Amino acid sequence: MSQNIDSQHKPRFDFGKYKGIIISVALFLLLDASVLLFNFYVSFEIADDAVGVNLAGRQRMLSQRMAKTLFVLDASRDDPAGFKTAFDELQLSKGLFDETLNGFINGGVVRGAGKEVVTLEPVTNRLGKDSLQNTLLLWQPYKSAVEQLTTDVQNNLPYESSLVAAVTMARTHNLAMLSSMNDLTVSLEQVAASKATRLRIIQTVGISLAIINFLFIMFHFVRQLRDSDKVIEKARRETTEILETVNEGLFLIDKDLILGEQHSARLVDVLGPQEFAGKSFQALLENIVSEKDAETARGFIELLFDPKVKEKLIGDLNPLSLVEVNIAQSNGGFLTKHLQFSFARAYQKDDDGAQKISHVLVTVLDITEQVKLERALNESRKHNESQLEMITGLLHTHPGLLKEFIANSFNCFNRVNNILRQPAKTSQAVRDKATSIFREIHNFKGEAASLKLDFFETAAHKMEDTLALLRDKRDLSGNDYLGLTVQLESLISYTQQVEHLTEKLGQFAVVSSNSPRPVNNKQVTGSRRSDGWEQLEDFVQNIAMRNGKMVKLVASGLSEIDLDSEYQKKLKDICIQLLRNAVVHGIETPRDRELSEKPIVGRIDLRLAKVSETEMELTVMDDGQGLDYDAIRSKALSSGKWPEDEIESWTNKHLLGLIFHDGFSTAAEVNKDAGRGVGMEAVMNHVLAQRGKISVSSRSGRHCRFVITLPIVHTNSSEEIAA
Amino acid sequence: MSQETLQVFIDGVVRYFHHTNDKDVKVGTPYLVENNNPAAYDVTGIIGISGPYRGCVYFTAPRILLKHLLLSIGELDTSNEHIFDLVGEVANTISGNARSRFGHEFMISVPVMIEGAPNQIHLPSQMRSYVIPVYWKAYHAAVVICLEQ
Repeated sequence: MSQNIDSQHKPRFDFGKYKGIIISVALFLLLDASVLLFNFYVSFEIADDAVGVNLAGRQRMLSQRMAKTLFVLDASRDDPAGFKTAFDELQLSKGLFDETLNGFINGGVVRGAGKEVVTLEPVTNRLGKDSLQNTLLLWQPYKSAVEQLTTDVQNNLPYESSLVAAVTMARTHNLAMLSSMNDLTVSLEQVAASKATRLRIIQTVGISLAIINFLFIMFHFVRQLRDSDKVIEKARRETTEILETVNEGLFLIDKDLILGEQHSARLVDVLGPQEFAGKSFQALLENIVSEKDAETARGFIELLFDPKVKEKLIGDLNPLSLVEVNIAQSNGGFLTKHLQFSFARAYQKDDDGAQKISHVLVTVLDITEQVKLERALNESRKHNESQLEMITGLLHTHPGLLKEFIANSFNCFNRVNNILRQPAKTSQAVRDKATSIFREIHNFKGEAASLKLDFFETAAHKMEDTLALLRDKRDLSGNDYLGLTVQLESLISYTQQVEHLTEKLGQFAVVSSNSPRPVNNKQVTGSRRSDGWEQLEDFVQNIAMRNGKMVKLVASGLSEIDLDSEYQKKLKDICIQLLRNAVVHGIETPRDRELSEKPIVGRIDLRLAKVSETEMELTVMDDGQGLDYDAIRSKALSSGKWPEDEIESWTNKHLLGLIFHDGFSTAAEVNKDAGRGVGMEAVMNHVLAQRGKISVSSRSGRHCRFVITLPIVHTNSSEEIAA
Repeated sequence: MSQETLQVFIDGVVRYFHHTNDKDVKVGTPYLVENNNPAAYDVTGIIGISGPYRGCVYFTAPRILLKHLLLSIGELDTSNEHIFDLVGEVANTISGNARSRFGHEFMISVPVMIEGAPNQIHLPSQMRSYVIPVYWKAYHAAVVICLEQ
């Protein structure tokens, strides 16, 4: 391409290349001019010769006329008038003949045929000279005789004798003179004819030379032109081939940042179809990179045109070395590409032979695939890392339980999303959503905590924080839920990842279950159920550890009643809530227990027992401090929901009822395990929905016991749940 | 996607309604939809977004709301053409607001108006969108935001 650019922009005219053709054309013109000049010269000569031939012819006529007038004179001696006419004619003829003869011999001025004066050159050819010599010899006696006659007649002397002498002369000399004059004419004609022949030859030669010259020019230079055309065409073809084949977008920009006439075909693929030639670089970047980048690029290119700046030094400043461009599509979207622009100076020699920066060559490379690959690699690395983290967090959980938890989670998220989706135009309706969602998330948190799934538990706790703020906010609007929705989305995404991971792990589990140890279905179901209950032990220990307490859980009868799985889940939720309360609110810290002379390790009894064929009883009892009625009372006071004097008059039984109220908690601060005040309300709601009963007994400093009576719902009678 | 980013688009719509005579516009609680089942009313104005986040944001509304809105801004001609123009104008206000808030970092396309829900070109099916209901008078409309980082 550079060759092409050089030839395009070469400012000076190369004279040497065209010297041959200029000389040839000059020669051609010179030849034509000389032939023309010679032609002029010869044709003038031929014109002169024609006058000579003409006058020589007149000499023949004059010699005859002189003879004739002499004979007339002889015959008109008695006729004076006739004699006079003939005599005058004789005088005229004799004068003209003698003058012309002299002219032919010595050169000079003579009267022409039309009385004009013409100049005769002396005759030089041999034959002419001889004939003139002969004529002169004949003419001299003839002339003397005529002159004698003339003298006699003019002087009125007797002229008979001189007339007779003259007539005799005429008789004897006339034919010889005529013959000599004829020879002269012939010789003059020959001279003229030979000149004409010479002229023709020269003209023919001249024209032939001119034609040869022309043909030479034609063939030689046409061939030369064709050869150089071929070279140019070849170069052009090569340039085109390069530009069409090269994988980069290539083009030149000048000092004014205007794109050159040519660009590589790939540029169209890279930047989209458009008219590139003559476009400004800024316009090209417009709409595909941010204005800031475009502006920086302009500054960078200006630096490249500054010869004082070292190209290598500013290479790192290229703002477009890796740029993400967004090409608008007709459907309103963007096609995102990653392009690499590189810039290189293009030099040209100026008139003084010094190198000058003429253009900047821009190379555009579409590296979208590489960038995508790199990103995919990074993402997959990150993904792997987070998966590893996830696996570490999930390993302790039984796959079956995890699967169940994930399914439950999605159900919970759906319910939350549905609550959000319900149109709510009054501010109360908007506020109610917070309460409903809170219940869902709280249950979810309980389940996550029971499985020790910290991430989920923390996320749920954060959502509860958000919801608490919403509940307390004045002039609550739908927009305030945005943060919650974002949290929900990220929790859903995380859960999906976990699901994806467990699916993979599930495959692994299938493989490992193919191990030799025989496992029948019944056992799997049974062990899964007992695992389901056993997780409560972990849950209790977990909460106890977090709250700095020591607890022993004594559970019994949990797996003995065959319950519907959904129903069992609800029951488990109740257990989780009651156990959490027992640990957080009931059991004292080891130090307090020591002071009260109790065993350091607190005890919680969890018992499920069949009361009848249709009823069962769930008992949760702890040997902790019992219900703190004073704390409930002061919490009721600080809530400001009831008048002070009314609270003072409440019995313990009434105060107990408060713990089942929405948003009521005696915990000093909100943490993952307590303080929201929705857990007991959820328990109550569930029990009421199943038409069950709750009884609470407590003795300060000794124990607290919850006994919940519920109907038994078996696996195959799921309809009864709805009843 | 951050709450702040989403808020910019919601503000755009609210800003548009604030220019009308009846400024009483309410934003409902945002919720999520899976993109294989996108939320849309009769007419939708979409703007494409590119840059740190990419995807699309669209305003979708039932015809009746748009007709009423046209009347409230003094436009008596409620032909389809005007309805489309109106949706385009709302979309433009959203993008204008986003431009002024995000600066040149983001590339925002000119709005494209369609009837019904956007297709897969705009909404990658494996993603979720945020739907922010907008209540104006007795009508429901929505801003839907689907952006990925």
